[in-house]
Amino acid sequence: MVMKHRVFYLMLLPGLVWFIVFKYAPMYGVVIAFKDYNLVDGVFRSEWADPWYKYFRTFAESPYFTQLLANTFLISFYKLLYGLAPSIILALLINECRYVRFARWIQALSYMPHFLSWVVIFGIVTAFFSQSNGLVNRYIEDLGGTEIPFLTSLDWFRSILVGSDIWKDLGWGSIIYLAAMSGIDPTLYEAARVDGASRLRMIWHVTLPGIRNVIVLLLILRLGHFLDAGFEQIYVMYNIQVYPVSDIIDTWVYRVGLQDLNFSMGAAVGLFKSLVGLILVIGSNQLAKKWGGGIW
Amino acid sequence: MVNRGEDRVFNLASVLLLGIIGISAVFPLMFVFSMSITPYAEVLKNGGFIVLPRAITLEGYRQALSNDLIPHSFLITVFVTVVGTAINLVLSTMMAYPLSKKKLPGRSMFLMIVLFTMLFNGGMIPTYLVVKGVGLLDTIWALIVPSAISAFNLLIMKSFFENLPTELFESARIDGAKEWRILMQIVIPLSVPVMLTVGLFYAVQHWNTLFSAIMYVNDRSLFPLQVVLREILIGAQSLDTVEATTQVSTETFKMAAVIISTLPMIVIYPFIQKYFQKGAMLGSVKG
Amino acid sequence: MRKNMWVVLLAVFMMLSAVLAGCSSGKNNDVAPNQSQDAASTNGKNSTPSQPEPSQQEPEKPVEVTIMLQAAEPPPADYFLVGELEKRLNIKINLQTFLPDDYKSKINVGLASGSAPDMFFVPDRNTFTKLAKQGVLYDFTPQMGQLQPTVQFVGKDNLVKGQVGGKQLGIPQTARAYQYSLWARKDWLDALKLEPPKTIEDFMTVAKAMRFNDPDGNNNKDTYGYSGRPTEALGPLFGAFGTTYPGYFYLKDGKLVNSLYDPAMKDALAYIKELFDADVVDPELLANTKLQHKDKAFQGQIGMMYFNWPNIATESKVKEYKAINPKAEWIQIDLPAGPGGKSAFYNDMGAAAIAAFPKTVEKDPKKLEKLIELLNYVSSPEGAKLVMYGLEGVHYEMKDGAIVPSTDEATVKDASYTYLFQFTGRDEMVYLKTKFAAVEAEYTFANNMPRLDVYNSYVESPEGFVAADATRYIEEELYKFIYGKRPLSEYDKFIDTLETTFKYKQYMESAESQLKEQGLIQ
Repeated sequence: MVMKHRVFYLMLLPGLVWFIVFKYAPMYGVVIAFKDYNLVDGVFRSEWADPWYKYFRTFAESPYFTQLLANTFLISFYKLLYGLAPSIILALLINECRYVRFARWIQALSYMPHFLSWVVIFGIVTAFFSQSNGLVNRYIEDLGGTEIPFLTSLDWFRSILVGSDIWKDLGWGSIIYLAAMSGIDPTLYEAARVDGASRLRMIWHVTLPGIRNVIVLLLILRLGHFLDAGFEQIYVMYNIQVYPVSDIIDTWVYRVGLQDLNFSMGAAVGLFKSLVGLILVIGSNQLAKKWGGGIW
Repeated sequence: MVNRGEDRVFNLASVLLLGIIGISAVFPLMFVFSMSITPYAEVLKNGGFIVLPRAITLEGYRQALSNDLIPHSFLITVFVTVVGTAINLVLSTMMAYPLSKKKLPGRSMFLMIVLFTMLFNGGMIPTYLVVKGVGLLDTIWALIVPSAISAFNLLIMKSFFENLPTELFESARIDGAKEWRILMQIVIPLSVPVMLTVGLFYAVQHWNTLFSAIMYVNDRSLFPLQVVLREILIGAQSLDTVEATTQVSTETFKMAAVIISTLPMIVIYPFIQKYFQKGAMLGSVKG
Repeated sequence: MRKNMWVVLLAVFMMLSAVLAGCSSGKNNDVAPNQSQDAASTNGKNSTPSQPEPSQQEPEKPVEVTIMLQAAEPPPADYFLVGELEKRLNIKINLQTFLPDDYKSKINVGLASGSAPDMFFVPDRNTFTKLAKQGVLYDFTPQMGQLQPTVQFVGKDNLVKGQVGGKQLGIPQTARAYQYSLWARKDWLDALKLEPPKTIEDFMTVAKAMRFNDPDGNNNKDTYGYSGRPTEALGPLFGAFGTTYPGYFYLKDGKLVNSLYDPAMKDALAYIKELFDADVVDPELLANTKLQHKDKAFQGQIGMMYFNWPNIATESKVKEYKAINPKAEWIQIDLPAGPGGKSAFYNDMGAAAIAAFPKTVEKDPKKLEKLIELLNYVSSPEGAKLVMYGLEGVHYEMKDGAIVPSTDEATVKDASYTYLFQFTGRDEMVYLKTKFAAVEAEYTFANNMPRLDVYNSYVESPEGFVAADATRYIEEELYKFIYGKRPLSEYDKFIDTLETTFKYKQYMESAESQLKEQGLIQ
C-alpha cells in the first residue's frame, strides 16, 4: 500500500525533513516552562522548577490575570468578528466591479497599509486622534464639541486598536479571497444567469460557496492564534492610562519575562497559549467537518 | 437582461465603496511620502501633520541613499527574497500536493505534524542552537533556510489543490501520465493564482526579514534592508546619550527610509494582478 | 491494523526528533571560545602598549576580541579608532552594535550557546545581578591588582556597582553627567511680565498665566504651562516635598524610607493634583513616551518643560525651534522650592553601565590578558584622550595645552562615534567642556541639580514577588490620584492593597535586609 503511493511520500520527504530539523528539533525547549532555566546549564541541566508548575502559578496568581485574559479574548474576538467580513466584501466588490481597471487600481492601493510598520501607523493614528492636535479633534472643536481623548480613554482605545488593525490588513486580506474567486468555474455563473439570478443571488449561491473552504481554513488557523491579539501593535500604541483595556497576555509577559531574563516565564505562558490554540483548532475543525470540510 | 435596475444600484454602490476604501488606504502613504520630502521645520510649523507637500527637499532621500549600508543591504534583501521565495514555492508545492490527496494513507498524521508547528514552538534559544548546529550562523542562508516553509502557506496551497476537479487527474492517469508529470504539467499551470498569492506572501515575509537577521547574523555586511532601516527609525530615539542626539535623524529622513523600504513590494503587485481575474484559468480545464 | 501502523510511525518520528534535539543541543553547550594560536611568548605586558613588543622574534599574531555594544548606530566601516586600537594593542577588534531590545536577546543567546562576545556591557544592575547569579560572568576579583589604571580611572568607590556577593564581576563605567533641568520660554515670561518661579506657589501662578493669559498673543487658548515625559516631569514636583517617584528607597534622617511611605508623599500628590486640576498641564503628558513634548514645545504649545539640554540647547536644536518661531527663547530656570526643599530627580546609587566578560574567557588566558590590557589602555591618559577626542591633528589641535576640537562638520561627525569606545567611561566634565564648550553653562547647571540618592539598584525582587505587577499598580493608582479619579483620602487603602494583593510587604522586608546586608544602610 505504501508502495502504491510512494511517489507522494517522496514528494513529502524534503519538506518533512525541514520540519523535523527546524521545527521539531527545537521543541525540547518547551520544557523550559517547567524548569528554572539557567543560561549556563542550558535546557537539559537546568533544575526543575519547584513546584513544576511554578511559573504557571505565578501567571495565574497575578492580580491582573483575569484582566489579561479578558482583554486578550475581547480584542482578539472583536478583530475576528469585525475583520472577517470587510476583506471578503472588498474582494467581492473588486471581483464584481464592472470597471475592471478602476477595481484593479483600488485593489493595488488598498493593500498598501499592510506594509507600514506599527510604529509608522501609530504616528498616523496620533496625527488623527491625538487629543490636543489630532485632526479629528480639531474638526470636532470646530463644530463646537469637546475633544475626545481617543488614545487615552478606556472607552475608545480598544476601538482604535481594532479599527486600525482592520484598516491595515483589509486590502491584504482580500488578496487571497480574490485568488480563490478567480478559480471558480465560470460555467457555474452561466448556469445561474440562465436561471435568472441577480448579481446578489449569484454572489450568494456561486461565489461565496466557491471560496467557502478558504474562509473556513483561514478562520481555523486564526483560532489557533486566538490568544495572540497583536502584541506588536498594542506595545507600540498603549500607555498606562489604557492598560486596563489593552494589557494582554503578551504585553504582560514582555514586562515580566523578557525584561528580567525570565525565559521560563515566557515559555510557560507560551505553552499555555499554544494549548488553548490547539483546543480551539481541533474544536473548530470538528465543527467545520460537519459543514462540509475542515483541514483534516 | 434581467434585473437591470438592481445591477445599476449595485454598480454605483460598489464604485463608491471602493473609492472610499482606496482613498483611506492611500492617505497614509501620501502622508509618509509628503513627510519624506518636506523639511521637518515646515511640518512642525503646520502643526505636525501635512498631507500635501509644501516646501520640497530631497535631503531625506539623499541621506538615506548615502548611508553606506543601505544600498548593500538592499541587494541582500533582493537576493534573499528571490532565492528564498523560489525555494519556498518548490518545497511548499511538493508538500501541499500529496497532502491534498484525500485518500493518501497517513494524511491526517502529516497534516497534524504540520499544523502542530503552527501552534507550538521550542523558543528562541533552542531554535538558535539548531541553526547554529547546522552551521548556518553568519551566512546568508540563515536568512533563507530557517524560514523555508510556512505551515500557513502550505495549508493554503493544499486547500487550493483540493479544489481541482478530480476528473482531471483520472483522465491524465488513464492517459498513462506519471504523478510528477501531472504535478508539473497540469496542476501547477492551473494553480497560477494560488502560486502567485503564496509566492507573494513568502516574498513579503522575506522582504521584511528582521528577527532572523538579528538573531543569526552578526556580520553587518549580511544585514538585510529592514534591519538597517529599523536602526535608523528606532535607534535615533535614544534621548540621553549626548552623542546620539547629535546624530539624530530627522523625521524627513525616517520617512524617506520607510518609502524606500516599502516601495518595491507595493510596486510588484500590479504586475501579477491580471492573474487574479474571474475565470482567468478557465480555458485550461476544458482543454 | 492500518491505524496501528501510523501510531508506530508517529512514535518513531517523535523519537527521531528527540534524538536530533539531543545531538544539536549537547554539542553546543560546551563550545569553547576561539583559542588563539600564538606561538611566540609574550612578556612585559605591563609596559606602555603603544608599541608592539620589539623583543619578539616574529611579529605576534593579533588576538581577536569580539565586543558587543548597545548603540543606536554603529560606527562607520573601517572606523579610524578601531584601526588605532588594533595597532596600538596588537589586537583585532570585531565590534558589533545592536539596539537595546535586540542587545539583551543577543547577549542571552550568546551566553546560552557558548558563543558570547568577549566583552559586553550590561546596561543596568538588575540584569547584571541576574547574570551574576547564573554564574555566566567572569570574576575579576583575582585580577584587581592588574587593573590598577582602570580602578584609578573609574574610582575605587565606584567599584561596588560592579560587585555581587562580594565578588567583582564587572567594571562599572564612570557616571555620566545629569542632563535634565527645568526650562522656560523666556519670551512668554517677558510677555506676561513674570519672573521664573521660585516656589511651588509661584510655579502654579506662572503655569496658570501661561495657560490662560495667551502668552503668545495669538488669541487662542492653545498653550499649556508644563510638560515633559511622565517618567521625569514629576521629578521636580516631588522634589519640592523632599521625596521622589513612588517606590524608591532613600535615607531620611538616617533611616531607610520608601517614598510610598514617606508622609510627604501625600502632600506632594495633593500639590500635583492641584496643578492638574487647574488644567495647566499638558493633558497628554502621560502619553509622551518619546519626544512628543519636544515637538509640542517647539511648535509653541508649552511654557515650561523638564527636559535635557542636548535636545534643546545645542546650536542645531536652537536653530530648529527658531526656524518655527524666531522670537522663541528657551532658558533654564531653577527648581521651585517647597516644604521639602528642592530636588530635581532621583539618583540611583547603583546605576551604571557595567563592562563584563563571559566566564568562558578564563579558558583563553591570552585573550583575557589582552582584554584587561584594553580596559587599562582606555583608562590611561593616552588611551582616554584617544577615545574621548580622536587623533591629534585630525580631530583636534592642541592650543596652549588645551584641546580644541575641529569644527569641520565631517570631522565632527567622525569624532562623534568615539563614545562607543569609552569602555570604562570618561572624564565627564572635561569631555563636555572640550566638545560642548558652547553650552557649558547649560550642562553645568543641569549637572548641579540637587538629586535624591536612592538605592533601588541594590535591591533584588524576592521570590514570589512580581515587580512588574506592583509597578503597574503603583503607576496606575498614582495617575488616578493625580487626575482626581481616586480621592487622596484613599491613599492608605491603596497602600494596603499594595502590601497584601501585590505582596509589597514582602518586598519591603526583603529590601531592608538586603540593603543592611550590603552595608549600605544601618
